[in-house]
Amino acid sequence: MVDRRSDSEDGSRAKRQKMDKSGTDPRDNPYLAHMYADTSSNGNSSSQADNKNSAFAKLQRHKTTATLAQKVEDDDFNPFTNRPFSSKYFSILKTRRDLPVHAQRDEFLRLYQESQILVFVGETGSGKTTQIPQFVLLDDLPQTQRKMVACTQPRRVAAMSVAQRVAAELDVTLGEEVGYSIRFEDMTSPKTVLKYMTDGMLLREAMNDHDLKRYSTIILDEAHERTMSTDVLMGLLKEVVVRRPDLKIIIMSATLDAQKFQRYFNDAPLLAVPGRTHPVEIFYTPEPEQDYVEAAIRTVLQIHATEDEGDILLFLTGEEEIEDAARKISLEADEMVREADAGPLKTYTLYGSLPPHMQQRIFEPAPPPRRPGGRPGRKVIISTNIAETSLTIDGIVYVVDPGFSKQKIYNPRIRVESLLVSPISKASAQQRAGRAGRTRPGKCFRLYTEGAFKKELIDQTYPEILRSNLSSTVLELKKLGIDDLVHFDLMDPPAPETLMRALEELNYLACLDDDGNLTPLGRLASEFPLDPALAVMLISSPEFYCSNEILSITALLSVPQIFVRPASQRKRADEMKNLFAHPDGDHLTLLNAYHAFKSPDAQENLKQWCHDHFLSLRSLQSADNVRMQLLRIMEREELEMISTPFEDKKYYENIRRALCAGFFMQVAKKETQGKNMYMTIKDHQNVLLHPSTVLAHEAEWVLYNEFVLTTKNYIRTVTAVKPEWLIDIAPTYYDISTFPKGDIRSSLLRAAERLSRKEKMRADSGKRR
Amino acid sequence: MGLAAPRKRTKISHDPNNTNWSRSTTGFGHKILSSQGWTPGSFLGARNAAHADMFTAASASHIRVIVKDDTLGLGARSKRDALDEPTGLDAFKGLLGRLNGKSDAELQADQRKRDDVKLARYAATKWQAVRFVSAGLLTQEKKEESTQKAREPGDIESSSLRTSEEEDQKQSATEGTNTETEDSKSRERGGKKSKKDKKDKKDKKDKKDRKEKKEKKRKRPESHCENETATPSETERSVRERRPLGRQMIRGRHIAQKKKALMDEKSLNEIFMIKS
Repeated sequence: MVDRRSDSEDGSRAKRQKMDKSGTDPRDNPYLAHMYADTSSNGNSSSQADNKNSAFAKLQRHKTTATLAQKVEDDDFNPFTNRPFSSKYFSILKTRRDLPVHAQRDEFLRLYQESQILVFVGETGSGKTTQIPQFVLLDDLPQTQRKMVACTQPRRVAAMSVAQRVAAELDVTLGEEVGYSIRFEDMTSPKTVLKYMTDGMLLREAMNDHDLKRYSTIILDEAHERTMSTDVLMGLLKEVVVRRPDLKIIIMSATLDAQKFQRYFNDAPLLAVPGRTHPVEIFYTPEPEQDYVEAAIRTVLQIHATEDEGDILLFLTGEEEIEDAARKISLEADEMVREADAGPLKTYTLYGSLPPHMQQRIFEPAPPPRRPGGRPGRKVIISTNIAETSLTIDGIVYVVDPGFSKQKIYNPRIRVESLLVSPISKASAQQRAGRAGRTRPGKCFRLYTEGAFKKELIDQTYPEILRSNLSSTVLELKKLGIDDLVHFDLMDPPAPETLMRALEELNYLACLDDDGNLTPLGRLASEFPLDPALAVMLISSPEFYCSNEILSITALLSVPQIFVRPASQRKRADEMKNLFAHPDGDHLTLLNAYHAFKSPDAQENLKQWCHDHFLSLRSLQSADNVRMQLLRIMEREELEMISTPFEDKKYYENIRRALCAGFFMQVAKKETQGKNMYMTIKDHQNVLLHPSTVLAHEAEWVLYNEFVLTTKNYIRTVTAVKPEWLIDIAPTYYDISTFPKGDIRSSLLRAAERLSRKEKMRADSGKRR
Repeated sequence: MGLAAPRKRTKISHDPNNTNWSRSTTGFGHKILSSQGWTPGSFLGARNAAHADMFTAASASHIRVIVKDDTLGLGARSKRDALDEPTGLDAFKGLLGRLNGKSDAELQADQRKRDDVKLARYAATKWQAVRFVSAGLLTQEKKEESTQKAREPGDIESSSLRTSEEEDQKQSATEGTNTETEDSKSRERGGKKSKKDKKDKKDKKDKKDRKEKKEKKRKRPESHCENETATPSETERSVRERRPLGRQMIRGRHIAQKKKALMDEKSLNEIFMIKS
């Protein structure tokens, strides 16, 4: 364990240095050169295009062939920069020509030229993400049209790393001809002809440019992942291609069930490039396993003991489960090494919340044998389903698949969105198994029976759009100019109830007016990359004189939990948390912790300080980052940044009131009997306060950030509020006449009475004066 | 569920599915959707979409998932549940059968089958199932090991017994506690494998002793390739469950030693020395 930690520190330090270097290089700084990339886009690149036409002159737009393009690539001079190609370029070119997609370059070009929309299927490792955009580049010649080629990626890291790779392949500087654009970071220049970006980013651009006029070709990569943004983009592009016949679309998918894409895009032509794969032998268990985690650990150890050389990939569901399994496996493996001279086994973990440099570690080679001629070492990667499609890890020969993953689920009736462990789909299981055959024939061990595979698993994983709260998507669609939400052509339309709920929430938040049109508040809220409730809370916070504080709380709510509670030191961790505790609730506690984190005392040695106080440095730093980015948007939108003086006794009250402005729909009232028993307003669900809360008194009314779905329903991150505030701040939602008779209604009535009495007194005293 | 089971008390809400909301047609969302031409019961999405037949049920209503808070494997049912099957309906089934004109003999056979399943399930839940790997039919061999394996059903069991088992299997396919699945499968596949399978088996048995297993493991890779059915968890499982056999094997070795001793005076002495 000890040397693992020191390893990771080394890794992080090395990584950070590298990042610093690239950050300080002024040439790479994308911000200074082109403040208004949108308007002057490619303005001066046309002249460059003219004088570098030497190589491009041989090419005629949309008439090129693979041989012609290869000639350009083999030239001595780089047509993009007019500089001679480096030797590295040619060595990369050689490996590029070996990629499976290269063999079908002519076929691809023909189909691309013939059709407006093309569906391209290539398994991971076929080279589609890096090569296809380059093929397009040499045929589409976007610089001659003063346009660009865009290639979307579901993940930011992928957009960055692929852009970097392609810049190297084309022998250009990243950020010039090839760039990337992800949220809060624009690494492009007026020269840019190929732009990698997240799908969400392209959607954001579409909000201000409904026809996406800057692009001549748009490539949607990893479309099989069916992220929310990709789905919306596909629906949008279907409309855009009608308005813009010159725009070409390529949908790239890694799975072979592309017929659905084809049908959706009016029978667009399909080109499939086989990946480079080896046979994978599938094993099932004869009987269902009683404990899949334990079975997975046993299987990994057994593979290590009995199977030939080759790395193992184990799929589990969440961070905690993964770390736990990793610990157990390394302990057992160490014993195996001691007792029976097994080869060394190194475990790596991989999950979304792991920082990028830690994620990179999975690419380290397997450990060498302990002595020359000894048993070969092996690495085992324990991962969530992010290793299923997106990441390509070479050397995996064995896959262990328990058949579960954590999936987002949204129930519009009780308005709960949560991550739940549920069985994967058949398609997922096949993807997972395919990971074993990347380098040589492999084996996949499924920890369930063949019968269970056939009967218990659904065919396809449901796309994100069917599993999420749609309120921010609806806001986006409205901003995209789509008013007829009912007939918007989505590949998988969401359930009507889900859309209804989203509209309703937006109406209560005053983002939509009573006719369903976007209000100015809604327009403003859509500028924030946040949940509408959070955005509205942030926008209205200046009215409560606490925008600084609400901004911090918003940032803290959008990052993973900042309080750490290791199993071995729970008591100590709770004591430390109590240092920051505010009796009125968890939101204020978060704020206190953040303020302490920003104090000079803590800033002296952040790492130690966070460690001592059981806080997650990573979460706090990313909250800091999010805060800075949101601050930029707030300043751009001219929202006032103010605070109530800390000495004012209303300091905390103002913050609690401001919280109500966004979260008035997530409120629960205490039940008359039962400790910690609450009932949510309007949806009438019985809930319990999550044990982690610091709420010191039994508050009658609480607002909560999160509804946690387990066998018991919990509300997490709660803050005490007053019904008077709710009636005052959200009168339409708390229209007492709409509440059924009962405890909640009578309590609201009493509060309304108090409110009117107070008003009357104020009016009276005013009169007297 | 027995009295000793941990009590789980959860209060179920008055309206856990909030049907109150879903049935109402006066909400803002409902109003907007209707005004855009949506009718209750229809899907969203383009009119006459070309891909409409590929929509899933999730486009009609939200996805429902059973909350999972344990590590029970896929398709497995918790041990306790296996006995919770309603069995009281059996008598009723017989009555229905008679009404449907089945002969008494048939009915009796049916009843018998059901009883067998019940018994098997009872045994399987009470004591953990012991699993075996078939090694084909009994052949004359030089090795003495076969005596030890006589216990295993694959070798000498009569064919009638086997078929009845297989029928049981069909009936209780969903149970997941069936002892013989693996057994019969391997029987079908490698009916005539003899020696190699036996070697495998030996290997596997040895594994159950944690300390012993390590040396044998070196042999495992090759055997793994030969025997398709030998998935890791299966063997691991047998490690867990066949513990009694370990003792038996040690005893077997003891007996063999004694036998040898009878033939060899030296070792005879050895034994006596130890004893005294």
